Amino acid sequence: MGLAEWATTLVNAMTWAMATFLVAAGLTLIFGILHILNFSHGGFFMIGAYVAFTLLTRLGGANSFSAYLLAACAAAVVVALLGALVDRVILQRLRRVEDAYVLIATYALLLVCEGGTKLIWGLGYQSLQPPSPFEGAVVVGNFAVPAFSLFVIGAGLAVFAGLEWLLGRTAAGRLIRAVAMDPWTARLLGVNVTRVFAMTVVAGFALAGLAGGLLLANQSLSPELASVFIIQAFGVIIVGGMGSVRGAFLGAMLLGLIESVGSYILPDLPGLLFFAALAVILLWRPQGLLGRERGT
Amino acid sequence: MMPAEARAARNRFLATLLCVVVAGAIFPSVANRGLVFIAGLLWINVVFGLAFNLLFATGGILSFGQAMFYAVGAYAASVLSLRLPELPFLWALLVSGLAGAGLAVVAGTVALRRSEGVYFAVLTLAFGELLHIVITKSTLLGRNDGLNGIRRPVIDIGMLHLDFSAGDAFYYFILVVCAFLVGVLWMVTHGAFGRALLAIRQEAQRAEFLGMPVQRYRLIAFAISGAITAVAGALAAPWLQIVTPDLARWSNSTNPILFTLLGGSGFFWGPAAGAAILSVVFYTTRTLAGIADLATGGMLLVVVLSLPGGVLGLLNAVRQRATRRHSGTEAADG
Amino acid sequence: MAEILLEALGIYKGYGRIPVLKNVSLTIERGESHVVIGPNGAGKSTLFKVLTGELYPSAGGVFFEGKDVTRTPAWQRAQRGFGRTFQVARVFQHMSARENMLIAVETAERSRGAWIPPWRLAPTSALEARVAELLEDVGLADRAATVASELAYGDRKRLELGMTLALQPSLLLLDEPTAGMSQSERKASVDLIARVTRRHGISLLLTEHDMGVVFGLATRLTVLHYGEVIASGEPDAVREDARVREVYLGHE
Repeated sequence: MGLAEWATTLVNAMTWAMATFLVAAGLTLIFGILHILNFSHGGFFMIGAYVAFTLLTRLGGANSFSAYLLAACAAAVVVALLGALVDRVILQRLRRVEDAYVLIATYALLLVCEGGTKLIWGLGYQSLQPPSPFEGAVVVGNFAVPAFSLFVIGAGLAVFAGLEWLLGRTAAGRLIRAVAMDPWTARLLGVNVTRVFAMTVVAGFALAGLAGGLLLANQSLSPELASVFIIQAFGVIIVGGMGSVRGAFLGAMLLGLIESVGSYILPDLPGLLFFAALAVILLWRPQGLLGRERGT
Repeated sequence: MMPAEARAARNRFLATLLCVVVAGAIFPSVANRGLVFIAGLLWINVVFGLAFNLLFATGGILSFGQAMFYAVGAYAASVLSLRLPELPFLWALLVSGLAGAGLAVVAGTVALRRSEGVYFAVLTLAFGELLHIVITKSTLLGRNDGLNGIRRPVIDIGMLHLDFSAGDAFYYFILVVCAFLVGVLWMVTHGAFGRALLAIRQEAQRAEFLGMPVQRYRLIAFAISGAITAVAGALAAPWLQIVTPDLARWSNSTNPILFTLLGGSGFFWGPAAGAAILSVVFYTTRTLAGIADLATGGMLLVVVLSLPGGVLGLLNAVRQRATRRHSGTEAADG
Repeated sequence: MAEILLEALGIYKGYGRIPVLKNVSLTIERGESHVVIGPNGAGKSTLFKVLTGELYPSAGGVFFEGKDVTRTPAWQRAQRGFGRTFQVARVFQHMSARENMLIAVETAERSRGAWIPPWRLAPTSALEARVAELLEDVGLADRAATVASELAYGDRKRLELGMTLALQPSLLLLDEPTAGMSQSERKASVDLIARVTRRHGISLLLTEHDMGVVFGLATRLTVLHYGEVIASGEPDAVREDARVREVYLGHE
């Protein structure tokens, strides 16, 4: 592989990694606190994308960078509100339900998201061009990198940095981490655990919506978006360690590299190495790279 | 179960099965071709759901990848039908079953290492998606377009010459084979192996310390489920006359989960009831995109949150209250 | 010289960086009732798990009837003749006592190499008879139809013991068999264990807290303290051992 190929592979890897991390961040946050693997996360990510798309195409400004970011933020807000509703009506009730049924319930929620999306926006594929400064390619020497890929990478890094700061440096973050680690003791210490749960869930959903808006120009938009990204996100958080944002970041980079290298050496079998890596991790270290062992 | 009780349960089951088969046999004379087509798929889906529930209710194992067996069976039967048309269809069914069992052993050996619910569910999902990728890249399997033109077979058994190639005659073959598979599943569930699985589900460690090779039994259960699902898929191939990679996708894996939860996983016939209800739902909502998903998702949520026994559980509760009798132990199979 | 049935040699086991068992060795002779005692946290449960195959040691070996079973999975050890009960009785909650016993008996059958055909829905009369016999043995014959979750705590322990006997084990490992019981239940439990082991010639290894039970049952004692064996031998000798006295009485 020449230098140009290496560079392309690396950029592809990072783009995939950061895109998946954007989706996985909220998922792992919610898992860390509720211990629920939320299948519907992909659905809300998709809704966020559609909301941002609708805002940009209806209200104009699809070419402007600030409009793009604004739409992404609006999507985050919309999905966060939906998340608050979902938490109230469904997730809180799932607390008393057996694990297997919880998984099925979140899958049912995904179906609702997909159904709603199909009803409101139809079955067809839509797409959006990247906003102004990021529409072309950046040429460095021998190889060209889609400018939007750089945006995605930057966005992913920014969100990671933001989450690191939030969780590590703020009181709210400390609360979340404490409750995630030991809700019983936190409750004893007077923490309003239910409120922290709700807060974190809403944050997780907001991240899903934000990811949807930010990644809007990265791929085409269709009701199938949810299932594509959810599997990638699952892989990433399982490899990285469920409940750990750093783990998700690490897992994303690792799997991104594997995916990218895989598509280079095995172009006829896309995703094979991804699943192989997933299987290996689940067998060798099921709690993931940075996860904590949960009893047995 | 005392011998008398066991016999009674078996007879109850056979009676129900007979009623269902008779109803199924009469159906084509009162319904149009479109509905017969759906009914044929219904029987296949009943087996699909029941095979899933063997794992779920009896084994306590949630598999999100059943579609892989369905697809393996469907594709195996299709390839054999197109490439080796001289091979009797019954052999094709056998090969499909074996392929399903083989795939289950491979997937299960990997996935069952972590039979903790979430991990197993995701692993089976991943396996299913992997198979989907392999199918879309395989020229033998028709890549994204799949394989079409699969003819309904002509079957010769001894002196019997059964021509299912014309009209909807194949419907009856599907009905008979599915009834047989349902019987096999009932037998597995209610025999010593089913008892062992149930024990493993309730208290795996105790089972282990009694000398049960827990992982091996789970693998066997997975293989049985996989084999039967594959045969169901093999029946679907000539019925649909076209097989596409969609059969291996996650959305097909969730169908048996939907049937089972909706009908009630605690009842043997639960998945059948769920399959029937969902057939109606899918049929009546087929024109408006998205309604089916909404309706199905909504129903599932209702079931999980307030009606864990599913439709059959609801009916059972209503019946018990209606007869105002106190039953000592709850009947766990219908 | 008594025959050694089970031998643990130099067992080390830790969780992460915390050592739980340090160089633990003990032997169980055929026919004896060996009790392991020690304060909470001494590592009794972990030792049990290593001996029964629930955990594998980081170093050291476990030998049963002379053969190395250090890394043999629990179910195979059970088939070789280990019976194991849990501190909180593990039985199949949603099945009746009879059904619980049936599972045990059918599993024992299969372990012996017999094949139960899948189409036989109800057990043979021979197996049913064995189920009844075992229930009788542990005094649960009249509660055979009761669902396990509805059995009294003491009865659940009896059921578990009975199920373990279905395997015809040569060694029974009981994890705090009288935990959570009243004085009278405790006595009944000890009587049952003594009767059963005597009748079937089963060797016994158990952990216990109640000294009455310990000295009533034990033919030999091993004392664990912070993961180490500090004494092992005849009950009277151990009772007099200086270090044991210090550990047990020194802090009272």
